[in-house]
Amino acid sequence: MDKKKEEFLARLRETFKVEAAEHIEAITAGLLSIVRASDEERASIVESVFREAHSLKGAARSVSLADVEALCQGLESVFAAMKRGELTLSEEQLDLLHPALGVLASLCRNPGAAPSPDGEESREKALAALRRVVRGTVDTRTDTPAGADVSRPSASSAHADPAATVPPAAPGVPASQPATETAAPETVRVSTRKLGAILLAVEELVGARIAASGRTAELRALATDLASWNRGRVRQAGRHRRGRGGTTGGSDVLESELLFTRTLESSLRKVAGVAHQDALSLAAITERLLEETRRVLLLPCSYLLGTLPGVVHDLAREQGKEADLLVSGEDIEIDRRVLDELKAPLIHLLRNCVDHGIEAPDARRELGKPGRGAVTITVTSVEGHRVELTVADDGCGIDAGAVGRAAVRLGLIGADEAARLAGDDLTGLVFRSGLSTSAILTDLSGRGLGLAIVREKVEKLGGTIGVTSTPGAGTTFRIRVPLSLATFRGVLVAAAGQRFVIPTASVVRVARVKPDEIRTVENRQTITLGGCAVSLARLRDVLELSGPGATNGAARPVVVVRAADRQIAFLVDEVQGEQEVMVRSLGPQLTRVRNIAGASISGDGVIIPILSVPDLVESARAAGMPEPVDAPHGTTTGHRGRLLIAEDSITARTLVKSILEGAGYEVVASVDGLDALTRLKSEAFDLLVSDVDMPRMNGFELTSRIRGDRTLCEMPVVLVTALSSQKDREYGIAVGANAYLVKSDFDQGNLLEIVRRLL
Amino acid sequence: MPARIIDWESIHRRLAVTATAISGDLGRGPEQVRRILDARARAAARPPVLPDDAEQLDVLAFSLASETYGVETRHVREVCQLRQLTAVPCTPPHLAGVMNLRGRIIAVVDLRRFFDLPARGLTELNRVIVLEGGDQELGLLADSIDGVRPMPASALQEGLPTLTGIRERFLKGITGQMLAVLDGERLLADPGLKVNEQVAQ
Repeated sequence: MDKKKEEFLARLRETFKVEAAEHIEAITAGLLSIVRASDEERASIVESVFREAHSLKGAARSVSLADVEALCQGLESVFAAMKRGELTLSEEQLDLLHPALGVLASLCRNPGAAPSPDGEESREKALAALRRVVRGTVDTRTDTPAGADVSRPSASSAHADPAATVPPAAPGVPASQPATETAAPETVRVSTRKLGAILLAVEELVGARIAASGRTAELRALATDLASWNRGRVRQAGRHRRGRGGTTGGSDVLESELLFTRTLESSLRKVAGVAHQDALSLAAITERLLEETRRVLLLPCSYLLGTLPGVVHDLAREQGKEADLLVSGEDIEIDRRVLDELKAPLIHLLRNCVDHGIEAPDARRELGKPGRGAVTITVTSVEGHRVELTVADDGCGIDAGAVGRAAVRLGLIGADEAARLAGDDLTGLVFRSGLSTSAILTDLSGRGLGLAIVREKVEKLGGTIGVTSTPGAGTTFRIRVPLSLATFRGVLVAAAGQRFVIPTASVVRVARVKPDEIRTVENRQTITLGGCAVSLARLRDVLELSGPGATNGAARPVVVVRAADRQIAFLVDEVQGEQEVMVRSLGPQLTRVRNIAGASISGDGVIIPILSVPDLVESARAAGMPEPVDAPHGTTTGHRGRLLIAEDSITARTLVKSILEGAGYEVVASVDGLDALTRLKSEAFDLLVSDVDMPRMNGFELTSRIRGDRTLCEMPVVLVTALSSQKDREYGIAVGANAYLVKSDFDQGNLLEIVRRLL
Repeated sequence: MPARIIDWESIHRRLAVTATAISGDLGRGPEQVRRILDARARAAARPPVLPDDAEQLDVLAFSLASETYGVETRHVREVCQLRQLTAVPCTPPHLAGVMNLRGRIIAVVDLRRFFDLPARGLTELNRVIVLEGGDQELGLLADSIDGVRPMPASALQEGLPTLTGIRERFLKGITGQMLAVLDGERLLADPGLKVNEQVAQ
């Protein structure tokens, strides 16, 4: 076979892998539910597992996997016997079937792998097991029960036609399928990678939309500028007419110009209006597209829950117990990334249920419960964008008293506190790390770390977890997670002049503290909130920021966050509110950044970092004692002057701003001359530092406008520019600048010196 | 005696020389002239000689802190204006921040800081060159873009790292005109330009 065909076959086998996993999952789930099913249900389950096995066989044949085909053949024989009513599976027979399915699953995971002696042996064992199951039928036939497919040689390795030329069998539609086949819902299989790429493209569209509405606003501003200029011209024309005693002549030119500019003004307004409408409809379409695309990326929970019944079954058997998992709400759709993250915590909780919750069959019967334990997972949608997963068992429950005693023994809480707490409050302590009430450490759980890790995982998703328990009747864990990783609620805070988002799920409360409420306990600063001491850290210190701090003296906002079981209050400069944010990664270069969980993009396209609360708590703890909160920062000696910067280059703006702030000035930045002029008219400043070359209004024009304004004309102006010619310098001075700094020989010292001299 | 303002004699002399030249009496017959023109035409028609099928490089030249650097265009996805830059706390100083490029978040690097180049003057750094390769994306800050220059690969000489201040492993070579061409692939892949860091436990 040439290379191309081999490659094609390899691609087919990749597709097969995905398809096979689905069939096997369906068969496993079917076998588990068959035990408790009523007669009618049983018939339909048998029908469906038979169909799944048959489809898998067809798919395996199309990619030349004789091993898989043979095993499917064996399974089919078992199910065919059940269909005919010749076989009812006993517990033992089911236990034979599960390992066989395991072998089948592992074969399907590595389609086309070179056969190993081990693999050969396990396959033979599995085949033998299947034959034994079939032999248990009422009329003791041999391993080839009647059936159209059976006459075909099961080892089809000798297949003449190269499999590569056979298209992959669509799931559920194998070549020679009897009419029992039900119509499959119309679906196509698209890789999540491709869907992700589409989502990304749609999100890029959001950026374009934001830009479009920005341009609209600019158009309007232009129209307004032109209108005010026109008004000036009208007045001028009026004066002109009066001055000439009502005669026309030279003013004709002015009149016709005026006519032109007014026509221009009205066209500009019209264009601005239409552009605004366009931007609005673009926004509506983009929103809908984004929403739909996100929805496409959601997967039903069955993607995660489908395999779990088998897990519970196996766990229980290892423990000499009997338990079934009942799943409901599995068709609720959740973001695939959330589902992937939930897998480990869910399996851990299930282990916990089987290990600590479900009693041994005899013990259960003595208590009047059925011998088989029941574990349930229920998925429900709650309040809009969240889902609740309930994991419940009907086992012995959690002994709240024992939890309390263990917590006291470990020093997690004081004895008095344990006495005060009751019921589920005590039970909740199981999430504390190190706590276990299990008398023996088993392979599964009991080391006391498990539930702490479960909680950490859930919190990382922006979710919450709680537990309730009734002794003797069972335990219920409730997990609430966001439907999609894409959005969650976050608290917007400012520290050192930068904005950050703290996930609301981790925020315990927001409060204000006065400096005199801060106490130092064991070398740590603490505050008292709601009767509890909470350690205090400055967000700017933990984040290693160096921007300006908030003014001293007044009460300052703190955000109390919780991760794992520690609470820490972070001092911030400002709490700006809460909002829905979309989480994104920081790009491929920044795989993981300390204290930062990701980024969100605000409505106007600005990136705001999202803080990682577990990291922050860890960092704050590691940092030890924070420096006194009110220590003067840097060389700051109070208010030295309020400066305005006009600079269109963001890096230059940031640099100049930080130099001036470092020297203790209060600094406001504007992005160009027009922006600066607007700010100068609405707020009071002591000095302006302006770039020359800027869009909309350059530094020269800005300076001359300032000099021409009655209230602003006294203000010192420092021009900083890349233009270094003598002529530019002279022009700068001519329009009224007090100082002229050239960028190429800019240094922090001479800027500060000049600013100091001018103030 | 009135000074002679115009030297008529010298003018007449020069005109005579020119007249002789125009009349073709410079020792070149029409045949000779034709041969000269023919040779020139052939020379002009010949494609520029690249050293035997030399590899052609397209280099995007940009200036940064009054130096000119280059990077091969095959690593460059686009060049854009820097409009917004968000500093990311707890990252090394050469990481200027992250920017939003039509909804994608891209890390932006200040090469001056990365290479410890002397910070001279106040630069504009208003342009971002977006490098792309494999799954990696990276923005480089630049003061201005000077255009794309095609050149044969052989025009690149090994550069002395001390000459440019660029560490050797990031330097693809230096052209005769002292354009330091950076290795785009290396910049994208270098772990020094990435951040993957946990909180110390």
